[in-house]
Amino acid sequence: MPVDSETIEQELLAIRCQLGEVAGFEELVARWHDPLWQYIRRMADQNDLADELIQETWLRVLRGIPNLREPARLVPWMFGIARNLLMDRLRQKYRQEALLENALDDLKSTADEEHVYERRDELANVLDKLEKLPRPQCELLTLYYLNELSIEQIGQVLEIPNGTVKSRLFHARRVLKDSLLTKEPLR
Amino acid sequence: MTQTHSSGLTVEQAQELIRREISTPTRVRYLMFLMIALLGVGLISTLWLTEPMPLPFRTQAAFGGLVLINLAWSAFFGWVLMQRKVLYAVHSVVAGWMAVVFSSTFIVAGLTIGLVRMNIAALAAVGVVGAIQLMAAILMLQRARHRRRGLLGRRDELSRALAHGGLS
Repeated sequence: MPVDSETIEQELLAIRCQLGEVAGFEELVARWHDPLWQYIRRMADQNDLADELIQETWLRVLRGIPNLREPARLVPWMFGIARNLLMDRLRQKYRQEALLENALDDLKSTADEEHVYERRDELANVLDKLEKLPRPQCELLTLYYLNELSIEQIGQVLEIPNGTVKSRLFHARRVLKDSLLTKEPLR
Repeated sequence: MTQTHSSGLTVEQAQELIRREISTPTRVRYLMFLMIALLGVGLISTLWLTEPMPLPFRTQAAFGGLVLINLAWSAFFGWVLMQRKVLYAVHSVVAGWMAVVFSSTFIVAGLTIGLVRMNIAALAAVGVVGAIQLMAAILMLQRARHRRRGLLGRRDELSRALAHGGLS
């Protein structure tokens, strides 16, 4: 099966790091620091916490990369580390995550996709609404649209099948559209 | 990619953090400490067990204490190298060579002690323990070199594929 150049680049980068090449690590950080930070920041909703967690994420990546069995899965593996750290921290902070899930049930569906994305100056509003979404939807949309991970990579990060990623993505898009149209706070 | 915030930790700062964390001299230093502590355990034990005359309790306790201290340091440096300053492929090869050198040193020093004291049991013990250690060190070195060769081969293969536009 042909492999695309992005997958080759990721595997190559992981192998250079496993070999202990300083330049490989520098390239890894240059390429993935901002996307990882944005993902953590969007989920944590605090700059300080995101800074703390990104440092911890890099340390775990450094310490874990020699044992990474499938170097081609470098990116989902790194996002998985960030996610685990984030979840541990959020679990400490919010004991009642279920409340966020329940908020979903209250949302009404009256979407009109064309209307939502008509104007570019609404981008800020979209991002603002994205941050206010319940965390599972925010995470999914951030990984897909902002971090540009594929369905398969998201499946590896979240440890769910590709079909589930697609259906949850569909649902998350609908929730985002609803929130853009209703103007009501989500939580 | 849309960016709405900037990290307090910049890419340059993160790279600096990484450079500090993956420093080779630090790893070699910890490896050296580990080997010295292990060699200390071996040689002090050899001296203790080859004493020709029965030792007073205080001397025995001192020997025992020294062996325990060296064991504790070995455990600590081993933990640091497993959990904090992990070894990348190139460092594992260095570690393998160091293990071979230190195992050989233990055999030579241990056999010399046994010969000087004319202690056949000590000679046999050092010979057996030293040979097992040396074999383990050689095996470790071979595995590390094999892994590094594999990674280098894959790196070159991927670099070529990238230059030619794909991998099939």
